[in-house]
Amino acid sequence: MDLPPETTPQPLLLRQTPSGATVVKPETITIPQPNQSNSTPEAKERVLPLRPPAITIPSYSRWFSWTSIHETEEKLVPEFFDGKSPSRSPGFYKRIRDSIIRKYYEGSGKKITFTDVRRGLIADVGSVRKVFDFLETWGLINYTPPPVTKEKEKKKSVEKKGGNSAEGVAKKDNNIEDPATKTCSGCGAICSQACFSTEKTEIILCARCFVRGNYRAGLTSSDFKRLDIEEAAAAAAAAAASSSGGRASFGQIKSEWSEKETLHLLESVLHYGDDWKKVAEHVGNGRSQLECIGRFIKLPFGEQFMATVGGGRQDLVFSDNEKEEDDDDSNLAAKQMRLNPLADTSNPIMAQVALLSAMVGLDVADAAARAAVSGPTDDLVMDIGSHTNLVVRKEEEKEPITKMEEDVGMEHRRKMLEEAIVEAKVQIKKEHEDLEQSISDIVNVQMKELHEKMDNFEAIELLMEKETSQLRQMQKLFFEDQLSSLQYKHSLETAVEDKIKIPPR
Amino acid sequence: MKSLPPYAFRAPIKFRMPTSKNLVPIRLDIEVDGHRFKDAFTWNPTDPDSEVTIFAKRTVRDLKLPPTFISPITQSIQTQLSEFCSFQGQDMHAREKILPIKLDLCVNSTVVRDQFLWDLGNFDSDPEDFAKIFCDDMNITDPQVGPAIAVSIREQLYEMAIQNVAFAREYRIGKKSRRGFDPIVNSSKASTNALDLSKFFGSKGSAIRKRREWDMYDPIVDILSNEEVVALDARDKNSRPV
Repeated sequence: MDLPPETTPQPLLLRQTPSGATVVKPETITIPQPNQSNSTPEAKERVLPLRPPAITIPSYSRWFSWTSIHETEEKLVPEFFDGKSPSRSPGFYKRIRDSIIRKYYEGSGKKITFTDVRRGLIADVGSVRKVFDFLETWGLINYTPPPVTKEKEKKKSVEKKGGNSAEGVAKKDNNIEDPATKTCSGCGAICSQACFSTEKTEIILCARCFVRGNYRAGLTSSDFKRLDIEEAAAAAAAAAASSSGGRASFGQIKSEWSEKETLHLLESVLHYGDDWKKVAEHVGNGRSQLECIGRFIKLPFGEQFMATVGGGRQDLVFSDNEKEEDDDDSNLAAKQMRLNPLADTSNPIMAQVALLSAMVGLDVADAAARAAVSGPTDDLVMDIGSHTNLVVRKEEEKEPITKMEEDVGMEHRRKMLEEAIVEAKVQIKKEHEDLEQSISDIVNVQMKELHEKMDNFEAIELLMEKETSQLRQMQKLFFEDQLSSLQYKHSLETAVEDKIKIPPR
Repeated sequence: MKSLPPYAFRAPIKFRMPTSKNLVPIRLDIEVDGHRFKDAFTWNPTDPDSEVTIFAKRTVRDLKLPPTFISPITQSIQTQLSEFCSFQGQDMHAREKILPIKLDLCVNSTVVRDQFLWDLGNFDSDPEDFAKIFCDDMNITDPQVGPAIAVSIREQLYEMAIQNVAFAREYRIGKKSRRGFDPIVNSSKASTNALDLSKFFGSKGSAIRKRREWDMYDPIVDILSNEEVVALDARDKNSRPV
């Protein structure tokens, strides 16, 4: 599946028709579905009548397939798969599931009730209820996508007010840290401008999470009600807990930042990074460090991409947000026109990449690029997404790149990549050398062993020789002894003979 | 499938529905404030008690009944379930027993009338399966007929299974002498409806029904018009003691 990386699993709209054809819309994803009237194992299956209109299911349920059971189902409705109950089996589950969904389609997307379904299914009602609830939770039945009209309206207001929208969002970034009573249960940030609550459960979402669809599956956008929060004037009390990220702690500087100054600011940030002293120097014009930082943070980086990129992002606009900073509006609008060479890209993937790298720090984008080289996976995208969210929250440490720095950033990344390659080569060489070294060591050791063995053997040989010579000596001695004794014997014998011969006279 | 002759003794087993799935048929007939609610479905007795309340609330919500129905529905289901559970600890004999099952129901203008033979001792039997095949074969389009058939079959099997249990209890109490087995006594005391199939298999009999019996066993499926349905309802109501 080639999906553009998403930061959160927002419900992109899937259109699927029961008979397998798919409808393509600009912001939807299509997955070819097999024709289910052929895929059921039962012999006499009713063929669906006319082709009903397309049914939408949320993107987090795109794993569904008529012909198989996904592990999500195995995990969330385990009663059918653990074999504990003799009446519940995977085949049984599949039959019920398919019947329910088919029934839903037959009703052309009208909501079906549990009682409807269980009355038409030959099965025990407990099992039917479990499967029904599961399907409903995952939006495979009775799912209504968030209304399209609301999004279109917001889009219009974006275009009308140009930079204001993006700016409003940037300001929202700042205001997230303002002390407010509502904390978003989706992202954990404090909701400032407006929050959305649902009566179904105790969930309060900040505007961003609401728009991103960062809520529990089973809730639709229509379940949420909007509550405006009194905007604590950013100038005043926000000093309290906030870290330096809050604009308020710097005080409101009313003097406008000219384009030139902003340009200088960006350049110097690029060069000096965190060294705000030098940045302030470079900007000159009597701008203190604090002013520079404040101005930098206020710049709406990347938010404008959200207006142009497809998907639900365009509705990050809240007209209430534009109350402040009217003086900078016109400036920014002009600036943005010039500072975003990538914004007009027709390639949605490039736009996404630009957006992400804009919202995220240089390091993270760098790491992402490297990872992209080695082959991205869905998990990775999620990681980046969550990383993105984290970074967005960390106001004070944030150094968003501007559009101008985009290109530089790209080159920088390329350079880094090359360096990485070189480093890798060096390391490989080292490894080789190490390897050779150790091999020669081993060989040396073996040689020593052999030498020692040889010495040993030589010593033994010597000993042996000595012993042999000794033995020979002994042999000789014995031989001499033998000889002498033989001679003596002989002489004795002759003496006796002589004596015997002489006496008879 | 080897089946022992009817008089062969089998050790008693713990009570359960004599079908492959141990599911209980539940029938509801509740009247509150002039509103009448009738329903029938199958229940899995291993489901937790909380499931009953969930089901009752769901049903009331889906059918837009007045909320006063929740409590009587819950109670009725629980009563029937506990009755079933009370049988569960007892023994029943599982031997081949061929009994007639009759279907006579009217669902949403579809009338079904049928009778057939069912082996109570066949624990692999499946009323749900039967109902599904029946609907397919008879080209019944209304999906609510199938479950009604399945429930009806289950109810009858349940009834007969209970009789088995009751009998088993009596038999144990009444047994005076210690006999190894006395199955012949069993089968004679048990319901005499049971058909002895061995009659049909042998040199004299044949498994094929006699021609005059064919009509009796032919299923009838009728689609009634609205007026006929109303008339049928009225007749049923009248026949019931108010």
